[in-house]
Amino acid sequence: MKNKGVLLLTLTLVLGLLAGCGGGSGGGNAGSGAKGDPASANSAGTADAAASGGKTTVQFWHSLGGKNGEYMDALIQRFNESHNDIEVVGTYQGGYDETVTKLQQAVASDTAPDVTMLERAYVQMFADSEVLEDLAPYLKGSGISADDFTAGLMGHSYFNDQLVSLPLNRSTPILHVNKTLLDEQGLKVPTTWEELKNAANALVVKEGNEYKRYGLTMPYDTWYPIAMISQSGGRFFNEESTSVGFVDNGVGQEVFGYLKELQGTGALYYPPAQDSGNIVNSMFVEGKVGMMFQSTGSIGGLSSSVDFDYVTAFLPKNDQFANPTGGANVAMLAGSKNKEAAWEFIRWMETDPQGGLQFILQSGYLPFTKQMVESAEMKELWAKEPNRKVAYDQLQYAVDTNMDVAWPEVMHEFFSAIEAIMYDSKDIAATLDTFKKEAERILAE
Amino acid sequence: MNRKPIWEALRPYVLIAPAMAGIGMFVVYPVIYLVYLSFHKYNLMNKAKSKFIGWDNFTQLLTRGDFYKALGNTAVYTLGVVVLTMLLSLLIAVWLNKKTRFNAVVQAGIFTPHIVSIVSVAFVWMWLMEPDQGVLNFVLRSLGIPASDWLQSSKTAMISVIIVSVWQSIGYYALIIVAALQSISPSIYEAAALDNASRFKVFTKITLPLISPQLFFILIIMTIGSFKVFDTVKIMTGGGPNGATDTLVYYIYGFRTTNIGYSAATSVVLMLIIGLLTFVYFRLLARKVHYQ
Amino acid sequence: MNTLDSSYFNWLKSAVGIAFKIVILAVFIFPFLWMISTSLQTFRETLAFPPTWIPAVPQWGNFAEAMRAGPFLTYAKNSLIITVSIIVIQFAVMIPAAYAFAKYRFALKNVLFGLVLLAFMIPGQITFIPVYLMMADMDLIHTLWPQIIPFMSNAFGIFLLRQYFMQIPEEIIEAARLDNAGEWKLVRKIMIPMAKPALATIALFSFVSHWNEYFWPLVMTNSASIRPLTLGISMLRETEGISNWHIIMAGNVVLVIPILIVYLFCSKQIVKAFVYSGIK
Repeated sequence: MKNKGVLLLTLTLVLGLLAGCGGGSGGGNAGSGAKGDPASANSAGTADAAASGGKTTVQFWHSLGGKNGEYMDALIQRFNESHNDIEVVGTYQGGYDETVTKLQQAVASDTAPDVTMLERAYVQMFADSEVLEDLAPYLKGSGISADDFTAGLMGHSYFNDQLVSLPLNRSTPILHVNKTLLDEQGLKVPTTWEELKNAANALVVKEGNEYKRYGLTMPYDTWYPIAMISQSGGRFFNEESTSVGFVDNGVGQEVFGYLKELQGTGALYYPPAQDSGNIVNSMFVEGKVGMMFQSTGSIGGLSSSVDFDYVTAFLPKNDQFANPTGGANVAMLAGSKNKEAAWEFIRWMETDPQGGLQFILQSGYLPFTKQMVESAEMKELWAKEPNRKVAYDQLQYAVDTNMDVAWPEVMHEFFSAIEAIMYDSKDIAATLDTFKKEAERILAE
Repeated sequence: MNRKPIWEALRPYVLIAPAMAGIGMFVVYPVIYLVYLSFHKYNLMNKAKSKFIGWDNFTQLLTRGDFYKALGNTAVYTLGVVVLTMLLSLLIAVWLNKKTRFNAVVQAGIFTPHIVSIVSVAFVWMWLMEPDQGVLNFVLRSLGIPASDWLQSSKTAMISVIIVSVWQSIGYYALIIVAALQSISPSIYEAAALDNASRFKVFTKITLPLISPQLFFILIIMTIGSFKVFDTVKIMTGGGPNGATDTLVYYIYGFRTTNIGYSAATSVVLMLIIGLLTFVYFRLLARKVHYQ
Repeated sequence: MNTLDSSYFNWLKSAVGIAFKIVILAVFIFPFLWMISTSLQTFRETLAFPPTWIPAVPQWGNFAEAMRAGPFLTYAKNSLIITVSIIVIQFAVMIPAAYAFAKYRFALKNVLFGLVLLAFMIPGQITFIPVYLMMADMDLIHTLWPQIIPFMSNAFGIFLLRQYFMQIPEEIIEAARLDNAGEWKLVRKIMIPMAKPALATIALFSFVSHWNEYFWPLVMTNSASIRPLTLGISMLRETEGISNWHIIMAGNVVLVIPILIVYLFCSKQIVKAFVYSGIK
């Protein structure tokens, strides 16, 4: 039973195990042996801070894993190399929602970071609790104007006339197309809902009861229905933010009716809720679906994986072109004790050519300053990868109608409505009516 | 001279003191904190914006359909997992009871799901259960049985989650039952054989009563464990589709960022339910269980 | 004739039995095998359908790539320290408590034992916020302690061990007392040796659940230097784009190896644990 070749790690483990399994005979005295361990880790933790010496340490929380996380780490490293007096420590805190939970408890216990990435939908909620620093004076002090930023991405930056966040890793939904498949069927890239419906249906391949290929897919998210609501002339919240703006005017019925019709013929594949982004991406790469609504953030990953002619296009219009924006902003916590250093990091990240620009070029998120858009590197990239330019161009139609302190809570309810309709084929009108009542109750609070 | 009796009276308290301190700090205190939160519209980040709202969270809770749905789901899940796991692990245990090398391998094999984190294997299940391309439907279709939507329809999502949970826990409970079966003295069976009792009768009249303490133990552990289900739901369905697998703990977790007071009120109700259930179990079953 | 028939029948019966057992075995270990297979595939192989069962060329490099993605040695060290510390502390806390609950009579015993059961019933998902705030108050947030001390009282362990101690016949204890053995000696020489299988079981389950723990370390840690392996592996997932399942699974295989070793070590004890083997 004894293993012969064991790594150092496993050896230590077995020793640890003996302490555990054999703990019965050792009893209480084994306790003192292990107590040193967490304590030593403790001193290691504090040593981190001490080692920086005269440097100001800025804690920065973000939500980027995988490749994008590596690009973010590289950005932080570039900052630290170019600044002798500031040390930025970047830490991954899980996905967007998990980061929000952690920020809440950290703010409550005074253990929050100086700077954080914040999913744009939560910006209002944090600003309402008065925990985000107004960045306007800093911007002014550094001679930067709010007009220097890409207008379509500033929708979530203001709260009660305060500038509480700036765009960082922002994206927008876009139409991803397997042009090879479309060409085979003699189809053009669709620009309207009508064309989209025809193209999606033409792409369907059915064998017996099984769909071998679908026309269109999209991740399970509120993003895409909201895009389609705007395309049909509706608003998510009404102007006064007292109710929703797409139920009574029939827009909701139109959007979901369209989706259900496509789903019924196999023209739309609506993926399972969990891990849906990955599932639809894989299907697209494998040619099992011809078109996909998906974030611009996926362009980089898809480009390097596909072996067909891959193009992007604007989301097709119904009454008009329209698309929401997504991704995250960067904000400074009001409780920060190193605000000057924190601002320097934000300023550098937002405006320095070595800062955000490189991150944007690598990751595929949208350029968020005019300077970035006009930079030679960006122009060169767009010449090489026109797919990325389409994403930026689409921003002229950017419109966000779901900005409200209560959005995260309403979102919860909207997901339920989407599930009821898309998975359970519940009656659209009745479902949206229930949703509207819930939304009004939450908005009234 | 009378130091010893004092020490003897104090001794049990001293022995349990560390354990009770841990429970006090990490269970009782958080529970009190939750009770406090449950009477507030609470803003964790800015306490000045919190306000006392009395029983409002509880009245809201009792009038919301999704709470009852989560409660019902939790009950269905618990019942499903407990009954299926009990029956199947009993069956497997009886079947693998004989001490052979091969049986030991099979036992170890069915135990593996329990030690591999559900986070690691859940996606394999999601892929197996994919309606169009998944292996499960492939098997069903080849057997001429209509395919199922598994996790993607609110009709079948709960049973799908239950299947995965049962799959994960059978190995563990089967092992406990095997051990219990092996602890029964062969002489008891020999006596039964002399009486010419049928195998079924031996099982119900002798085996079951003799392993009842372990079965009771499993029952308690499983009921409580099932009421607390979180990981499986979070990873496989996120509570959907359409709330079909939204269980209480997941429901509570869902409100953590947007409405912590309401979330706390639901926690309080959850604790009352589990507490009550455990109390009932002990009252009703403890007496019937046959300790050796 | 007759004997030949019945031996043939018996042979058939056992063959069917073995075949059925193999099927059951396959059902249970399949996801696990698939995890190993995926960890050795190329990116394209992970996307293919029908799925790749056995990679054309095993990609051992996936493991190196998984480890490069972060300070994996630190993560592994943290996981080890956390898990072992939890088990050791739990044992030190649990044995005396279980002994007292099993063998002494004292006022409020039922109420206090009720609290133990309460502890067993409360999931971490509803207590993490107050616990985090408390840990921050004690200035422990930058240490490994928040991942260790909340688990000092293993309610399941106390419950199981108490059951076990209760099975140990009173006569044995009385005999030892007549020999003038002190309580401490009694626990050390009789209770612990006799409860060894139970202790092994508790250690194994404690090890498995804390080694695999994802939720608690995520909400309790704010910096990479105090994080365990599970969080390191979760970081391998893409925020957007296509997840590299082959790399993620390689990370998961690394995660599961120590558990398998521990399991091999403890498995015999576990079977014994549930056999109530009081001296007859």
